[in-house]
Amino acid sequence: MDQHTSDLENRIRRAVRDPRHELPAWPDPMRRIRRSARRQRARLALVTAACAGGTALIVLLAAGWLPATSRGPRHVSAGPVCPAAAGVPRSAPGGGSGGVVTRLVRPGALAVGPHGQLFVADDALEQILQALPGGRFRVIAGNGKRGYSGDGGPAVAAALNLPGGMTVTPNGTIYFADTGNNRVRAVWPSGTITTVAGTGLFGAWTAGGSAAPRTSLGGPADVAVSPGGCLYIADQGNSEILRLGPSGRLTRVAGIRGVAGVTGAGRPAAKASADGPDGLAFDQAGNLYIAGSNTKELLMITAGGRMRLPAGQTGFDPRGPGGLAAGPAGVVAMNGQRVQRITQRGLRTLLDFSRGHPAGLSGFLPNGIAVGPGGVIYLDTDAGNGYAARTALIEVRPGGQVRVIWQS
Amino acid sequence: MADEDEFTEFVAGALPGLLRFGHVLTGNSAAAEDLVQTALGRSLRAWRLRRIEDPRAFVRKVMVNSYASWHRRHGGREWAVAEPAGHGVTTEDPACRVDDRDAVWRALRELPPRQRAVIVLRYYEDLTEAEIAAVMGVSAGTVKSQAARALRRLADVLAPAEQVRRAE
Repeated sequence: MDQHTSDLENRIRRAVRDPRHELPAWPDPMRRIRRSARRQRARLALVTAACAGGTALIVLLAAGWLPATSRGPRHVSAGPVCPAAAGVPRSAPGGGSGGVVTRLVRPGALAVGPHGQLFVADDALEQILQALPGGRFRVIAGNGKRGYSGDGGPAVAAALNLPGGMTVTPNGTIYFADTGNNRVRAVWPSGTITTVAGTGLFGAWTAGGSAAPRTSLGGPADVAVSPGGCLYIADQGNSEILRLGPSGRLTRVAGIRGVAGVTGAGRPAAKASADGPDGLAFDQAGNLYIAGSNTKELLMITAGGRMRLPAGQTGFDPRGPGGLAAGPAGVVAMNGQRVQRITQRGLRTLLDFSRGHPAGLSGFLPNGIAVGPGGVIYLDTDAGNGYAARTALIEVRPGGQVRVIWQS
Repeated sequence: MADEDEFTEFVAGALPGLLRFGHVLTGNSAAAEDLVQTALGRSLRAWRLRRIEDPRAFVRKVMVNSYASWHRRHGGREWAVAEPAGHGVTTEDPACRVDDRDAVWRALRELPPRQRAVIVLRYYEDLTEAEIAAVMGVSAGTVKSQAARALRRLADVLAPAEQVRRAE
């Protein structure tokens, strides 16, 4: 074998054994495996019932091989029900090097991690924090100064500029819209921060098909990961939805140049406008819901790629970055002072803070929303939003019981 | 249930290695977890019927084959979240020296699934050609030709990076 080939082989060995590709262990592997086995059996039974004969056997064998990728969100794991009481999981981003704070200033977007951890983006602190028991928060990203710095280093030493909507992948990577920096950034499980998309310049209109780090975004507001594992970006300023594909290039999924409002419902999404999107969430069927902030509409791109208005023109009032959240029972939205579940028949109100509010939290107007394991809904509000008496972070159980995680 | 206890023990020991193998195979952590989950679910069903001699080899085989067939059906569409292979390497910054491991990792991700599977089994699992052939259900000759093709392709893709390094 020549020198060149053996050199290449050594490089391949080093790359595939790179310790950075270690994945975190599953909290309860057998539960996950049994669930997978049950699903496979159910699929088998379904296809057997539907078809008969040798052809059917081939089809069902094929179905049995389908990985779980196409089956909806995997964000909700068999983790603990109450993240605030769960302590810091082993795979906590930040590696424990971030400090602990006891105060929020302007909590906005929320997200739940694979082990039930609750993350809060505070755009006044310019930090992303993880809720700990006892009303404390660990800094996951942001050194507290507004700016852009720190890529390639520890996220806790990096400067952010108005962190907005976030999403957490099953391996614990946090993607977030670094809105003021016109970038989308990622905090890896190792605690390192990098830029995933955006040059930092406010782009006039994103050219689809360009390499993500060389594309100018227009104040991205939220991100979501599709069931297939692609990152979607709500580019609010340009009024378009972008998909970051496997090649590292951005594709425009929705948006019409020069159209800021709603046009093209019923058409393929690429020929419809996106209404200044500031919230994104996928449901389990792969439909992408979009909170349109310009004319205040709820939009949906079906799994088949068509733009729809699932709630009709109802005067939907999105509440800022990350105003939609995916949960086990569907997507939940903030609509003014209400929290609603998106169902096939429209919006179903789960909570209405105009008709009552938790003790001591008058004028609760949600800023951010996330759904945790077991359907727990997390909400936050801040005293500067003109309604709320206090800045607070709360947890609402499916039965309606409210627990205050932190309040000013 | 004694059977399942044994399987649980196997999972506890093998899971970190399987996840890693899945990650190297798919180049994507979410896909890796799904692949491992599916393969273990399938293995559990087989285990209940007492059919598995060497569970680790069985799971590996299921993973390689499901990955290749899934990839074929879906054409690689909607695969990776941009996981800039190096956690911590900013590829857009020319001042930042790109780690060679990341360059190779990215090049691997561009290979067709079967070629990648051959490379992963050979250089990560250290399997012989005959063992790879058994895992993939093809002949040893096919393994050899796929490996040669994959190496040629990697050499082509990685050559420009080498030139850059030499120029530095």
